[in-house]
Amino acid sequence: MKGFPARLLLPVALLLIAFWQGGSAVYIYVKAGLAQVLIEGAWERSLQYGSLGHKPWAWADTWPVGRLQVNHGSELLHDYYVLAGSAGNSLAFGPAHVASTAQPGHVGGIMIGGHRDTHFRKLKNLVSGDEIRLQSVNGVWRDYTFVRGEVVDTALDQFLIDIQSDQLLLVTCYPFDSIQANGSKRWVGVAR
Amino acid sequence: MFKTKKNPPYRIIDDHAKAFTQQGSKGLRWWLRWFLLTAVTLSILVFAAHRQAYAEGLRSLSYERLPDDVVAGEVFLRNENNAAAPYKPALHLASDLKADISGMIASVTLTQKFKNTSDDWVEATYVLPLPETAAVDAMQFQVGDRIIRGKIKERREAKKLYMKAKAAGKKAALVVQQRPNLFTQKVANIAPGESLTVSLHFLQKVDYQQGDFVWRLPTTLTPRFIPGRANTQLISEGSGWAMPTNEVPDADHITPSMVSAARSQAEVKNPISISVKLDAGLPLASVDSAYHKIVLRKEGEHHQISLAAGTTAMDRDFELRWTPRKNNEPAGAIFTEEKNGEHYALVMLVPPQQTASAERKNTLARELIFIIDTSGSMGGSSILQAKRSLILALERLKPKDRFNIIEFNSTHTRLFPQAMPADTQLVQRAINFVGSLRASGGTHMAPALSDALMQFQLSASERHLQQLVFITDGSVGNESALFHLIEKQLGRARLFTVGIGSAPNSFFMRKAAQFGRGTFSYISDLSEVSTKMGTLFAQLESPVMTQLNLTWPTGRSAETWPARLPDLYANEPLVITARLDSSPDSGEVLSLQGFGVNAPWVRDLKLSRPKNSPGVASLWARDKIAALMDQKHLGGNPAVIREEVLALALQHKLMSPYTSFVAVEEKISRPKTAGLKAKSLPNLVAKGQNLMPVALPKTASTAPLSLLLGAIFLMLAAFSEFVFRSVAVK
Repeated sequence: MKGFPARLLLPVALLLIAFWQGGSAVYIYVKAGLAQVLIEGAWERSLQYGSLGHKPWAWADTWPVGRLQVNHGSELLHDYYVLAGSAGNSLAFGPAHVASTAQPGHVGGIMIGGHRDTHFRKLKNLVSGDEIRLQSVNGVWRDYTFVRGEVVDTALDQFLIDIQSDQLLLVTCYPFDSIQANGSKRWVGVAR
Repeated sequence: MFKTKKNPPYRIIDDHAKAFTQQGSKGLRWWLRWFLLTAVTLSILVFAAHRQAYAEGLRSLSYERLPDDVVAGEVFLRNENNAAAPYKPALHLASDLKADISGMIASVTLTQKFKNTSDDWVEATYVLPLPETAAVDAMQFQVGDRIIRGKIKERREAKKLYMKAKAAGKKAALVVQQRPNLFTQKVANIAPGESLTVSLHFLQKVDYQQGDFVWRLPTTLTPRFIPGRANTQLISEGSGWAMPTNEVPDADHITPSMVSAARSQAEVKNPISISVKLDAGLPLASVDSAYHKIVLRKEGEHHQISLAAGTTAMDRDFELRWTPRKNNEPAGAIFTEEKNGEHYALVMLVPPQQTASAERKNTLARELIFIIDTSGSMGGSSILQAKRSLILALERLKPKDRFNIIEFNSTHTRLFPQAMPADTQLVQRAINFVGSLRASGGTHMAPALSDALMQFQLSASERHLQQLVFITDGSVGNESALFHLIEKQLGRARLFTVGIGSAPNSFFMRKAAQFGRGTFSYISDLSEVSTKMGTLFAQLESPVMTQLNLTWPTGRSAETWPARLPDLYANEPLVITARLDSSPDSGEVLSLQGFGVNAPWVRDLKLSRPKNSPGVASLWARDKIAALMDQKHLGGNPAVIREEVLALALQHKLMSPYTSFVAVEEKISRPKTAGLKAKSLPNLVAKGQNLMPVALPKTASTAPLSLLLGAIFLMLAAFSEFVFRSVAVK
């Protein structure tokens, strides 16, 4: 064998890129799934002490603020712990509560965002009448009924939330099957 | 050639057989190589993943760089004693306002008390609204009985000093101007359980409008609409709900999180106490506050005003209005100050009353375009006030007037393709149209304004006066661009702003009216609609006073701001500030000439022996800064303007876009081992509003794209390998 054959350079380079891309995708999915396991413990501690701010791992900059169950008919679509703060770092680990909106368990509009590709990938199946439940830190479950979904273009419109009405807003990216990561459109599901 | 592991059963020809055996052993090595490569790639991948996790860990340490941290950082502590309000925020804010009004100058001290109720060391950030004309000339903070005075510094230098002190564990405070009416206040290293107060002092001219003196103070803001494409590349260092965009590059600094006053139980959120000492200098008929219940006490020559409730939530503007007794209305006033050997004057002159002849009133034909803001921020009581105002205006139109209505939010709509005569039928149609308007969507103001001004320019009628009445809360972040547009496209039209809601953007209202050479007014309550619109219509229907000229006593030179005197509307005074070469002597006469209905007029003001009024110098400098910044809005050379403003602001120790106040305590209070948490104090949602803008999170990961790319490259790799092999075998 006389060294690395030149003709292998291209296929190997292509293969490396393939692995890099595939790997980062897998990393995102694995992170999204595994983190929830760690968050479960943090949420149990939150419920036990009745306080927020319990971190799922030592260097986390977020913590669970609620537990969300999304049903379609009798089928449970999603069951996730909701994290504080909707910056990218929280969203990688779970659906995230938009903190300028009401806290789970408080009066007012509550907004929760989730990745279209991971935690909120099944929201597109929702039809009006579906049941959505949200558990707050005092352990109480609040039941919401899905009303409708709206598409908002963030490049044009300002989304406004009614701070006085009790509603739950689930946000994910739109179109549902697009692969573009930085699109301006969002789907907002309204549940009361 | 295909590569297979098993020997094919049809090995017949020798040549082929030879070729195949060679290939077989080579294929084995090839697979080994693939395996090795995979292992290497995987380890690189694991390493990369770790790095990413590490970077995320780092980011969580430098907490304040996260755009959402305000919100993410809001820790709620459990309050065992109060079942109704089980959680309380970790940081408390209480404000106190003391104003000393003498004649037309208000000297105001606003004190903010920050209380850290958490167990962490805290850096507090608060977006502070102030009057748009405020000349901020001092800042200090107090902790215990230690008072640390702030210094005026170039903005970047002030920030640097603050960051250094913060990192070193020293207590420090910083106040930075974002807009003339919006400031960011930062306080570093508040110990657990500690209280700290930051005081700001500012001077302000009192407005004299329609025979009333008015002093208005904002206490919160209506969330600004941020047009433009979000700049996702930038890491925001502000703490707003909006990301910087190409049109509003500082959006993250002017969009604080908001909290409803109604949501808080029992206690007043963000309470403020107000006490005003009013020395009007002339006998008064009344002193009123439109949006607050006040207690009024007369103490000798002056009045003492305080809130009836003691404190109130900071969810609406505070307005104090005092009216001189009949026949005591001022015709003019002058306030002077000598400072560092220079002489400054604040002059107010009321032109003689011009009553339009009935004949003129009948012949005056006008073309009016009303723009009504129906964006989401107008939701709640604002849209009701706006609609009521507009309907009232429509009912006052005369048949010879022409009119049109433009409503705008994310898009804009004209009621008629062009201005129509105000006959009964069309006015009724317009009233029905206004009645059906609802508030929702964005505030894309520029296209609507541009459309209205364009219509005026296309309008053929030379006879008609062109008046644009703009009814809005002004909650936009791109003020400067809008001023530029107004100035460029105004033509012979005049723009009148009507500020709606509990917390209108006063900077926009005043400046848009100034560039539009009209007037501004506020309607913050339904009960005000008829009187305020009545006043506005009196201005629209009365002749304008033009060609104003101010003559100083002979031999005196003065640098006057504004340099170009504006046109005056009915019952409007001229207010200017000037720097004089020497002190004015008593007996000298200052005279204002102008052109009224058909004849010129003169108003003289006898100067009296100067009584020193502290603050006039600062007000003059503040006016000059405003005039320089106006040039910047209109496209002047930013570097030149910056130099001029900076020098002036440093000389007069004033806050400006380029100067900030910073105060640093020498003592180090936070131990090295204790961390510092960044916390933002939310502003209160303006009274009567129930819709709040929310920045929708970014909810798409790159995973699907990566998967697709991965698959494509895998196929490409296989394909190229296949091609190379076929070529090699041949």
